[in-house]
Amino acid sequence: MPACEQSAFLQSVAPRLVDAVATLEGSYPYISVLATDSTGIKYDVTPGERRAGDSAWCERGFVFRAQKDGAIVEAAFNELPDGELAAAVAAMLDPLFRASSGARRYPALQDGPAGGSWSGPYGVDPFGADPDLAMDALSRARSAVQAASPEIVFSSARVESMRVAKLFVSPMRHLEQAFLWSQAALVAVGKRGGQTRENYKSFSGLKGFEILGEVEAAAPDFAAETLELLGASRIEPGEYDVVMDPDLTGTLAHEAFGHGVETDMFAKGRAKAIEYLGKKVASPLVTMFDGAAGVEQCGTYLFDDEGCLATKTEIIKDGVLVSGLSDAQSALFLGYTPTGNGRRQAYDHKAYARMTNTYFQPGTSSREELIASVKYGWLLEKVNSGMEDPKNWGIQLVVLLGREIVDGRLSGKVVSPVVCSGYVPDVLSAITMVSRDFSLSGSGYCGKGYKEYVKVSAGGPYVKTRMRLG
Amino acid sequence: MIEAIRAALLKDGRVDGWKLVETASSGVEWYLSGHTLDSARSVETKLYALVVYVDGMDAEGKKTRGAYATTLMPTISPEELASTIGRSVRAAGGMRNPWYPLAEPGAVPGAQPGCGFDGRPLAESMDGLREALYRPEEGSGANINSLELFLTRKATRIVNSNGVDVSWSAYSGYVEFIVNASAAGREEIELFGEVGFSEPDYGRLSSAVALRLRQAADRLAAVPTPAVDGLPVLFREELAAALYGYWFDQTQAQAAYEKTSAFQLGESVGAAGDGDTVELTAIPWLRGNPRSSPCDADGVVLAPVRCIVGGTLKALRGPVKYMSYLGFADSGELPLFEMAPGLSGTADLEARPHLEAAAFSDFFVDGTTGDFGGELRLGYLVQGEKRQAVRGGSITGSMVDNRGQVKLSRELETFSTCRGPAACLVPIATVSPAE
Repeated sequence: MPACEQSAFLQSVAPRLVDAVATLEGSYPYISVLATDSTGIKYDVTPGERRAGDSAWCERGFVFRAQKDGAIVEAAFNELPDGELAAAVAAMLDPLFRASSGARRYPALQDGPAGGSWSGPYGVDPFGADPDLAMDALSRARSAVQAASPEIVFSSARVESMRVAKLFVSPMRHLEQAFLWSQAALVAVGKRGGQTRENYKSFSGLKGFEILGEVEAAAPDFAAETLELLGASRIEPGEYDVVMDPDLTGTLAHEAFGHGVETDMFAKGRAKAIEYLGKKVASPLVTMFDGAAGVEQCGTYLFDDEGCLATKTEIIKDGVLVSGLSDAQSALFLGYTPTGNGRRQAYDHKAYARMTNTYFQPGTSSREELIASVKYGWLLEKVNSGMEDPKNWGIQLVVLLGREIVDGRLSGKVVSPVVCSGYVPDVLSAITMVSRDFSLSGSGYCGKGYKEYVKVSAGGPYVKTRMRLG
Repeated sequence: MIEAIRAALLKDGRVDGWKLVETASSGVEWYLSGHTLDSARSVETKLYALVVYVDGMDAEGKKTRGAYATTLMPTISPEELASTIGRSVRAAGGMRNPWYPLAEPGAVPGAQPGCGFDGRPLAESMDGLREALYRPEEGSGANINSLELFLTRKATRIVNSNGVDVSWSAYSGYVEFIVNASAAGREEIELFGEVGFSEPDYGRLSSAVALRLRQAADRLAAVPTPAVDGLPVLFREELAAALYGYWFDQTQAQAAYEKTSAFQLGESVGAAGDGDTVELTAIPWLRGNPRSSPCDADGVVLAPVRCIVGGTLKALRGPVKYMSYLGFADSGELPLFEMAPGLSGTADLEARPHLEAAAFSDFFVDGTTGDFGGELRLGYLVQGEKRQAVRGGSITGSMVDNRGQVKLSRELETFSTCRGPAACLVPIATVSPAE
């Protein structure tokens, strides 16, 4: 497999950045710079047209972080001055320090020695691929979906690939990475009577345009599923036994004990989880991880946006909460060791404690055994969205498709949409079976509240639990 | 930079049209924990969003157009610029979409009204904003846990190969805040709030925080949402705007072109029922709203369009491409809307027993299917004189099931997407109790 090339632009500006950091080191006890040069493309084919352009995730810029008298400030920009870079950066940082006279004083930011370079693997280079052939593949996939029935009034297929390139420089660190992720989706809208239903199927991974083959192969089943959704009714509200698919399991992990253990939430007193470290929060069947290291999906990297090396963090072990996910600043405040989870939407955004690849560990049962164990309940598939509540441990998951289970078998009845809610420890403690399947999906984005989007993946096995559905 | 891009396009020689949007942004950000400034940031960026258009011919001899949209960074080298244009032309050249025109030079955007942020560095406005946001805290029975405050000045210029050359500048402010309430023997609770603004409207900012502080105190005393079969649901504030924003979604030209709209032009969005008649106008500007814009991304100078008149979908709005595909004159992509008031006062809507939805974990309204719902973080069960705060459970429903039955308040307010009724009453919704 070929490996991603490092950014020629970043390599060309690296000497200026190193010089600037060396100069500024005399003025600020801590100084670092993250430089980014990420490029991407996306193609979208609909019945009426083909659309193409750069990905919205493209970025090229710089963010300098400095600490003085305990205060921490940052200046982000994307134009390099003609003159001395260090002087221009100081002119941006110093007014921020003046405005920070009453700001929180942190212990000294740490800058231990670290170096390294990572080039991610991929199959088919999206940037070298013929755009017409790529869009032809998407066109075949979407046409196959729409041809399945006149009730499918719209279908589209799209693909997006990003080559992420970053460079981190501090007096003690010089890190670089370049890797490629791709995602694709089939979307369909069906109409029957007065009802309209929308369906999607996504694909993702640290890969290139080999993903297009997956899209085409999935079209027939996706069309059948869309027609099935047109027959969906609304669910009778209540508490049910549920079997979650790996996507939903991952979103449960992400919302329940992903956001809830981001340690910047600990620092603000916004997360109840800090009171439960070392205590039981879930069924003994539950072991949960987050890590940019350890698995390969869209949340994988060598170092985070604060220059900390990626790790794999065991969040829950056999039902007991054991660790949080830290950015450098909140780790400093709390006296923790950063876990390499300091991430930014882009160079011009702040770094927060964020998830990477978040998942439950697989168990020993089969999917069929989970379904067979349910007297009456629902197999929940295709997560639409989720929202966290780290303070009060509520949870909301919106699912596109629920399949009725009666006496251990799928009855054929489907419902849509389904809002799943509950109290997080109750939902996790009610997990009684975990399948041996394991898959991760990285086609979604994660927001902090309603902004600051970063690429993540989530997943795991099928799990059986109880939730309130409405 | 614009001249360098123009020259590179000319040198490439294969481009049949182009559009370039230059955006220069300067911003200040404050992150507060409690009352303490946790960290401060400044951001200075320039971006150049270029679209190249390449024309061709389809198998039937009809003129076609392909387009590729790329973002150019100010640090791009001449070689990278030439290569990017070459790659964009290659991708656009293979597309055989129906041909459409670019925006033509036309009306000059009206002079922008003065703004209270003008005439001083952005950083000097931050203290006043912070003071306004924290003012309601005292005596509220709740407190601000943390707050993030952003203020950006953005200058935009749009030029295209047809001679469009429009420019304007505006402020974009945003605050996100978390409020807590606690009492002895009760678990501390939190609620999320956010406000977008483009003017130093201190009163509006204070009111938004005050509302959330009151709601936090109410949530602290809330009981689990009980079973309330058959009760209508009253939506207020931004939740109401999100709900009737479904009708704004139905006015999109792209959705009509792609046949995903629920309604055709000339069709009634209502039905037999006792709901209010929908009157909706798409508009470019609301005072203090950061979505306001004199032009859309094509450079079309915007003016209001009456889209839904007497309950009937009369006109669409959208970019030049989709309006052209549908055979309509340019309306531009209007970012905001006005909804006419309903016939009932809010007090009338509140008079019958109902469940009022005040805050969700993440309220959604699907513009395609009409489905709406979310987990309830705070509601009020109102039965006669009794108003009980409730929490938990969920509310789901469909605008399709409620067609012709949604009642709108007579009182109007300004929200993040519109000026419209302060409340709306939805008769058909499913409430899943908390326990």
